[in-house]
Amino acid sequence: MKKVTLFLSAILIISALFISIIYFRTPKAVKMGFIADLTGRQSQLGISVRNGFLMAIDEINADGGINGREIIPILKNNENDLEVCLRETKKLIDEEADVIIGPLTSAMVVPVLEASGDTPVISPTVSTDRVTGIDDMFFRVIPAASMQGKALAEAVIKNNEQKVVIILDERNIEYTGAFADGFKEKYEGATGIKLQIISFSDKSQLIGISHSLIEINPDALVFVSSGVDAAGIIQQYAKIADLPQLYSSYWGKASNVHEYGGSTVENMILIAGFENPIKKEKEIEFQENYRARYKIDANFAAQYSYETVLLYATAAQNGKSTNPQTVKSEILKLEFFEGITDNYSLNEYGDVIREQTLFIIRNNEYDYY
Amino acid sequence: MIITKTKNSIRDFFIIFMVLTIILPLLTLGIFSIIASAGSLQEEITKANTEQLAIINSNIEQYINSSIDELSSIKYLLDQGTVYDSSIMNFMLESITVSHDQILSTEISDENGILLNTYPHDPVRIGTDISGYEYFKRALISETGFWSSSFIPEQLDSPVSSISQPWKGGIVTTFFSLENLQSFVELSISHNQDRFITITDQRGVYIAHPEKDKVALRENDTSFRYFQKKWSGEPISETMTYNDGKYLTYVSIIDSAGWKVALYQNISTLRKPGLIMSAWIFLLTIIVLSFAYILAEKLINGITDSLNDLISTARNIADGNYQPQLPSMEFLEFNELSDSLTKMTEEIHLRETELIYSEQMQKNIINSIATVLIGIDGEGIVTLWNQHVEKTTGLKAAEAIGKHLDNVVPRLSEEMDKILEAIETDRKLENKRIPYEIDGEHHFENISVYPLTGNIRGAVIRIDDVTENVRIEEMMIQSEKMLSVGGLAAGMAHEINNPLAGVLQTASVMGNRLSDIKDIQSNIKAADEAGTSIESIKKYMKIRGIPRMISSINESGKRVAAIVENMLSFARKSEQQTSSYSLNTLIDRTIELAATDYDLKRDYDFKSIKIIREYDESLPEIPCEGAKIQQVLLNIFRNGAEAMNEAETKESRFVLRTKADLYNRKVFIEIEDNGPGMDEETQKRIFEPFFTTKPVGVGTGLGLSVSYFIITENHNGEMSVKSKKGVGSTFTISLPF
Repeated sequence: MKKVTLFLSAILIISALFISIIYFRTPKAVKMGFIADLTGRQSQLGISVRNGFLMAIDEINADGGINGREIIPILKNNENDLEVCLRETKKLIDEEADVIIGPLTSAMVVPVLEASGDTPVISPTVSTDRVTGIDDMFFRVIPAASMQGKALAEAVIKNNEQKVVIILDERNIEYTGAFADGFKEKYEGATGIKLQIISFSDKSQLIGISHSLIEINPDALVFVSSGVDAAGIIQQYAKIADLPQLYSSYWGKASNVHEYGGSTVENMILIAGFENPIKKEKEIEFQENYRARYKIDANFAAQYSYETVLLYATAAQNGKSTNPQTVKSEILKLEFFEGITDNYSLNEYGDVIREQTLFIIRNNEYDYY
Repeated sequence: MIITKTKNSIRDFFIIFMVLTIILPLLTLGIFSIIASAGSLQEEITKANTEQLAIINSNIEQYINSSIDELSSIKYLLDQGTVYDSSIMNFMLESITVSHDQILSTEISDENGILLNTYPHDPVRIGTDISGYEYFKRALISETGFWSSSFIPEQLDSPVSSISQPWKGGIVTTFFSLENLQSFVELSISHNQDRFITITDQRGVYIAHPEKDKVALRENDTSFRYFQKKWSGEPISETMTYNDGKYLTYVSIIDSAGWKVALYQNISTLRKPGLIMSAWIFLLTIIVLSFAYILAEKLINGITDSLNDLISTARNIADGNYQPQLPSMEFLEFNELSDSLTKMTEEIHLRETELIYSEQMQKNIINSIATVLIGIDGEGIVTLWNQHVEKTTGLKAAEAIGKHLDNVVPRLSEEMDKILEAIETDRKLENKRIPYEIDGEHHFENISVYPLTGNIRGAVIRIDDVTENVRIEEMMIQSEKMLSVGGLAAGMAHEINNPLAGVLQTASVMGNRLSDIKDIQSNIKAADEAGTSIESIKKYMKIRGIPRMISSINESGKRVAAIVENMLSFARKSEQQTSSYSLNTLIDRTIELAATDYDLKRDYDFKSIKIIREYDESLPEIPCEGAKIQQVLLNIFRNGAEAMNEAETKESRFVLRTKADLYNRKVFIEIEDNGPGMDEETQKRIFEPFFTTKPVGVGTGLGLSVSYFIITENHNGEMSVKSKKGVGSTFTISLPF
């Protein structure tokens, strides 16, 4: 009896040891938090960001993870609500996320940074100037909104547009305001012509705005709004009068203004992320994989989201650690990062330095301008 | 016999036996039942799930077909109409939309994408351009229409899809809610852990899911692509992992819309009956085991008690108690075993007694052998040490056994390598006549090594002291040599004797005729015939010393004759004048004779030599020639005395011993002096004829050789000498009686 007991005890002990060894030998997973608007008004872009995020994680995991550690995604939806965003970000911190990818909109960056503490936050789409030039744990792969505005202003100036009206969405004022400021600074600085800014905060205002614009009879309309809202104004404008030259921020292309606008947005000039006239192999591969996976084309939000994950993975891999300070140091140390479309780097404040491209809509498609 | 000791107890064995005989059949039965029931259960569940899936499919088809049918009727009207009538179309759109819950809105656009009609009526939208929308682009070029993928409009929180069909002047589109699909999912199967349904659109995005968030969050079904590739028109059934759980997944694809309907059946459900059955089997096993254990415990206790008694008895027997008290056993078999044990004990006792006797006998034999017997193992460690070796070394067996042979018999150190080699090679080793010294005396021994047979590594070493044998052999060689030399000398003497007799006789006649010339007639006549006279001849002889010469011839001749007489005695067995003599008396007489011997007295005073007598008073009288024995003894005394004199030995002495060996019927005389002794070479040759250590002319070298022959040839005795230079010599004579 004693022998049988001993035998069973030995088996239990050996099993426990074996399980312990297996458990302790399994490297701890990297927890990658994600927060964006997955429902609500911005959810279309949020879904794209999530798609790029998940695709990158799956690819990295398939290649062995970060330093042999698997990445576990933790997804949170901020529902385009500041309070929800703060709450969900805190949850990510409670769940010991090593990094937070997000948020989607500039408006949400404040609650995210309030809750994230020392955890690195890398945003694919936040471009507000509010967090520009600050030595913190926030990084981004999209140029600052003011830089986007300045870049588009250069095109407007070049086209010698005299009466320019900016239409911006107040609901995302962090972004639209900064874009408009950059645009204004550049345009007015260069031409000395005062431009007009019209804002809206509700869909019901769009018809009224279109009528107002017709009365203004501008040479150029610059939309700092989503594609559907821009198209909503343009469609109504077009029903009554000939359209002036149309311009749009990143947001327009990202939210498929061409789809909502149809023929009315033909010849619209848009500023957007850099794209090569001749697609790079990496870009083609990314697009093909994305399409195979999600049955749609990847937009810049999906691409930038994908890049944020790769950027973090590269930094953690190089630093052989997910320690926040190590990751920060490694990100800033990168001379350049090979993005999907272009190589870029981040300055000492974690703000990206990368090229932008002007597009024009021709035959309901985006062409290089 | 090698016995592999096992540590398994009867109790352990019995428990294992019980486990194997009770649990294994139950387990086998259980597993078989589980597999059989799981198989049939899986078939039933698969059938039910497939049917369920078909029903859901049918419902969905019906759901979407009603929208398609309505759309087709509008298309038909549009295609048939010659003029586009907005009010009619408005009415049509209204009737369709209102009559179908799922239809949210319907719209008609021209071929440029300009909206012509919408229901609900939306004047803001009418006139706007929808040509950028994918559904417009795709529907326009499609013959059968286009299903858009799902999307969630800003103002709704549930997914929407659209179906567009081209008409001759543009497209007609209906937007319908997919919310009802959610109710299909929820109504068709109550959502629980075991079974649930999901529906995804043509891009793999969930449009109905028990977890509504997945729809709201536009999550993708990661298995969608996989099933889409596998789709061949028939429902697919596969095991998939979902949320870390294993599910048997039944999938069908709705061809018209490209949606995937998946029914997930938790595999654990299939296992549940098996688990319940397992639990029952386990319970049954425990109950059976418990009863079996109680019975077995009683049985085991009976067996183990009996065994313990037997073990205890066996231990007593092992300790030498051959009168065991065996208790009565509970089981018949153990009583038989007990009887056998008693019988075995008696036999063991008998055998042990015999063994002890045998061992004692062997020990006695080994100890009785007057030979050194040492047993060693393969490493040279002593294992056997007989009494003889105890005597020779002074070491007791207890002191020697266990020690290395080197340490207990140091003189074997040099032989150690050979001894170990003999053990290794299993070859007998014999080293003969190995010399060694004890107290300065040379000894010889034979060392024999006999490797042990069988599997035991070791050897028995026998050491025989052959010193005496060597000496005897040497003596025999000496004896043979002397016999041959003696024969030669005797032969020569015989040959010399006849001519010598002639010489002596002639010399005697010559003396008579020349020296002591008698005035006898024949002499006078002869002188006359020679022209001289007797007186002249006498005078001449005297002047020339002839008589002295003749006398010298006679003297020398007699001396030669005496030598020849001695030499002849080497070969001749004299006619013995034997009678019984007491050797002690003969020795004493010889001592007296020596003391009065003129020659001895001339050179030294024999009386100054101390005579120590150590006679055996019980010595029997022996038959011998007394004079001859005295001659021998006198010779020995003379030689000894001369040697001691020459060496100027202080306190010179003779020790005279006699003793009898009644068993061998021999008497021994030992004459020991404390003279200068002899070296080995001298000892070897001392009895040779004509061998002398004295200057030429002083001795003939025949004294001891004649003595030797007297003892050996005339009396069948033995004579030997032992001597040590500087210590003295001992002559030993043995005579038979």
